[in-house]
Amino acid sequence: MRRAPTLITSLLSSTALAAAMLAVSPAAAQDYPARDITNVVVWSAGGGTDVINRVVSEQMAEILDVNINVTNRPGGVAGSLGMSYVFGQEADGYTLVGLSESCVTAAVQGGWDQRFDVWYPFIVGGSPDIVSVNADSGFETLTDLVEAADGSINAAASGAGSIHHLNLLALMDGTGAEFNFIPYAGSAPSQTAAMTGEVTVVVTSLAEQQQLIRGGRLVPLAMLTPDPFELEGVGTIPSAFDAYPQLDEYLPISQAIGMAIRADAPDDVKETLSAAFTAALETDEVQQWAVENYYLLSGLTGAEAQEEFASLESLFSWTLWELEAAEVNPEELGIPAP
Amino acid sequence: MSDPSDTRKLRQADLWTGLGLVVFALGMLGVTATFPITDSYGGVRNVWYVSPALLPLLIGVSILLMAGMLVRKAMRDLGPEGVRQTLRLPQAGFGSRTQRLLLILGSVCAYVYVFIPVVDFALATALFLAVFIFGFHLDREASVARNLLILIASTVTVGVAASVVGQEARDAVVDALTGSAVIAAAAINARALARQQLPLVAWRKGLIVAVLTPLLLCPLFKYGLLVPLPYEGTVIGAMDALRYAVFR
Amino acid sequence: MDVIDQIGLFFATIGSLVTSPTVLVILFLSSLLGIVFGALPGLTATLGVALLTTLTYGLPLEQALVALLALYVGAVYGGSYPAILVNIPGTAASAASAMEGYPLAQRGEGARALGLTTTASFVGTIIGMVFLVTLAPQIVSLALQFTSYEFFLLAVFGILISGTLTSSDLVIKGWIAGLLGLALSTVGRDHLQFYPRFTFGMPELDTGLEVVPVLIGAFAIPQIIRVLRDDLALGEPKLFTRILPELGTMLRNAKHIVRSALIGVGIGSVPGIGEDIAGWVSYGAAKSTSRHPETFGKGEPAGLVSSETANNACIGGALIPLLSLGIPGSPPAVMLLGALMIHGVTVGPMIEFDRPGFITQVTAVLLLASAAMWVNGMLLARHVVRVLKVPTAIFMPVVAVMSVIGSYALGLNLFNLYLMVPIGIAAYFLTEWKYPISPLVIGVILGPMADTNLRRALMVSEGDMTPFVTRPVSLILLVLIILIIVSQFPPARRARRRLMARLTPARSPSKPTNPALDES
Repeated sequence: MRRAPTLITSLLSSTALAAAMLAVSPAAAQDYPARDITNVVVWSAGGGTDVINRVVSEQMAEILDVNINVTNRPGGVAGSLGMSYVFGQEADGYTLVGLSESCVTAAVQGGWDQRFDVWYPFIVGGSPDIVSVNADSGFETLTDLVEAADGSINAAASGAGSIHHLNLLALMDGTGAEFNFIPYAGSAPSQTAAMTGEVTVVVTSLAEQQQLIRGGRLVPLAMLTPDPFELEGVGTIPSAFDAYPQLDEYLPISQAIGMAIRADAPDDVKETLSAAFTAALETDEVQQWAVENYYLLSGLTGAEAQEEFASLESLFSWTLWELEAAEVNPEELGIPAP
Repeated sequence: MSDPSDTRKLRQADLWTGLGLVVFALGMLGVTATFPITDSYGGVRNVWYVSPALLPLLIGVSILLMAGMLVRKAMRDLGPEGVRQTLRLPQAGFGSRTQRLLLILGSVCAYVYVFIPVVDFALATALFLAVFIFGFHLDREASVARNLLILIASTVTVGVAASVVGQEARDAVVDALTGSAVIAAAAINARALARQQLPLVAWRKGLIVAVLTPLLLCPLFKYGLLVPLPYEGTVIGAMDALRYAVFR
Repeated sequence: MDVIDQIGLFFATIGSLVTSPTVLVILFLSSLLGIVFGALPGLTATLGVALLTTLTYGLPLEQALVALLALYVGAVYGGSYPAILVNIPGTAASAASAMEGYPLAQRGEGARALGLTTTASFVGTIIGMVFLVTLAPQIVSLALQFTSYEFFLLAVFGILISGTLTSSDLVIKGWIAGLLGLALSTVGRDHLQFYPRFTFGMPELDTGLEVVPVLIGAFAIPQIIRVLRDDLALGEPKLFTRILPELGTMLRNAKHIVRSALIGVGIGSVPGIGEDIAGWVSYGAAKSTSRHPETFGKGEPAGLVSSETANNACIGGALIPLLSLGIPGSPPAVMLLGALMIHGVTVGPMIEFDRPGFITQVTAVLLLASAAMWVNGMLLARHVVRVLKVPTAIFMPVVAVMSVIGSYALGLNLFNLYLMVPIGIAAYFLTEWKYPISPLVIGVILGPMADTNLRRALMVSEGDMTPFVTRPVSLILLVLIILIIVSQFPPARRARRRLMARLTPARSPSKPTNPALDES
């Protein structure tokens, strides 16, 4: 009876020793990427950012000849949980973070204490915003709507400080219209509310609305971009800038969905990833996906992408501060006013 | 529930929980009172009915009301003498049932709060399973107390080591300590069984489950479900090395 | 496309799918994986669909659909395994199944309960599917009747009904549990103004409590403690129990099945709520229309069949707004929407125009998915019951480890674990004092819906309460809510008893199963 434990003990300790030796033996230095890459998306599975990251990661994985595992780490403030996690990993390019323009507000909302320039981003792009109304509302042009908008008309967009809310605010500032802003927990519920007539106006992206517009459940009034858009089966949706040229002071505010690595990653890693990213966006799969889903591809990387995010950071942060929905003064973080 | 003594015990418990709920509701209402009720917040025009305080207020008041009804019913059913008896502080016994409860709660808490954040998940799981299974699966009464002690000793050791040892050496030290704790737990329990002339069948089964479960679960989650484990130290690092050695 | 073409396409799709060995392999494996995901605490349909989305990226759309729907159907069904066998519902949807399934298992009839569940889930899915093809437009217009007013009342209704049904002591305790769940759900930034409530300065609490750790903490931890503390044996299966479809029992419960399926489809089609509520509502309906409600809670097959039919019928219901409006009804449906988007399919009113026959194809796949689930279930149940033979002192610790890793897996967040433990301990004490736990979990799930919709409704009407009574659906819900509350107070109960006695003079007035709020 006494012998059993000693036998097991020695067995266990030798296994543990072997395991420990295996663990410390350094992996042979190889060129990046030598092993699987993880892409940590800061929004939940199934959302726009998640889908885009999965589509692009798949193509990048083929180009780089490794797996890119897409996982989701949602939570915190404006994706701060996922960002903090990736920021805490080594800057070796093996952990990407999948994010979107809303993540620039994490700092002013008290989610974490880093500016957005800690990232080296790759921007896939986004879908342009569009303002639409309930099919029975009777409004046919943006001018009709703006003239009637005295504050009694309800307008839906996803929560305060979201990209669509900022577009709505810019529309109000640029046209002088006044809406009663009703926030929803995302684009789908906002659109549903406009369909049921709970609200009259809705601002979301074209990708999210196109089915409902083409199905006749929402009436499109104007694109919130300088260019009109030709929508199959519906016709030309004019640009809001045609009727209200002064909007160009406020718009466009475009989505910037993409991925990033830590800005202090080695240069060769950045180059490899940038090249793979650019090549991935040019593949037929991604191009076709973008057309089918009404996305405009951007493809910005490196310094240009950082610039884009810096201007979004300044715009979002200061708008939130002015709405009194920010916890940290953007000035304290050194974010310049737009 | 038809047993009158059971019902009486329940009403006694209701009296306590009812009072607890009243405190909870008052606390909730107190915090709610600090929420913005009238001024604009987050770009939304704020009136009382838009306020973030609306639902918490409704909930707080409802809990207060229902807790009141609960207390009233308990007081009515117990009678004044019963109420006085109930409100006398209950004596906590340290019987075997309490010990069992302590072992369950203690091992879950130690696992989640002490081991998982700093120790390799496979090792942490092995220790948790070992203590838990040995505690309940062996000679019952005595094994609960014995494994409770093992749990406390290893938790304190690892907890102290994790906060004292520097960053570079921490993984190795903490993992080694946890690994030794698994071995120690196995050895101590086997000794105790041997001393009582009890068969080792249950012990062997428990050890196999404790060691095999993490060795199966970790690769399954990490490579199969692409779920990185909470903390990946030496053992999971070894699994990674093995996997890349085999598949690349 | 006319009906004949649709039916033709339906069978053509099935034909082309079942003749491909690859598809069959994908079908059965995904279904099996789904059952495993549903059965293990913490692994959810959402996580499963997310995983399969990545794995099926390279497959053609049709095969990917087979994989995703088979997993979804399997996961909704699989949640009933741990609910029945160990009283730990694998998903919130199967919490109602535990009410009858666990007592059955404790009597040694675990295998029978699993067999019933399997067939009920199959029938439920099929009925849901029939609705998907035949009545989708009508159901969509019904779903569009639901605005903020109705959503608020629906949330309140869901919490109330689960509170009322689950109390084994005073009904008021069920309601208190529901309120505690609601209170927990208000932690975090509110969804309208992003004001941080009850976060006490902790950024981890900002997004509020996640449902999965609450679910696992509240269901698994108390059960683990109870079983080990008292050295309870789980229901040891009687030997030689054969697992049969039990067509006889099914036929006897035909009215429960049909009603539950209707409830399931209806609730599934309303965006935002789904399987979890459907199970409770149909269970409640079965109990209140049963001729012997006193057998409920003690292993009544009718109750089990009702909740399981309803939660699977929900799938067809949830697919209706998803496919025809692009509105996902539940978290796994959100993931399904994303998965479809990856394959270049945007669902919505134009789906039949963009991809003619797509809905018919989905229906055909759904039929195959439920068939695979049934076959898998019938083969599995007999073996799964054997886990009960593992000594509890070995089994429960492993369940604990699964619960821990399951809580962690969805959000990859250690904080979820830190949360799960205190919630579990609190839930343990609450169950000791005979507070039911399901209403608490339902409260956490529906809390945000109640909160935002109440305030948004008032925001839209500028503080006016009248729409609550002037909107038809809203009025119906309001009346139901008031009836549930009033029926628990003594005068109403006495009146009801008198009424019942007069209506059924032959039978002696049944005693109330709940002591409720009796003043006496």
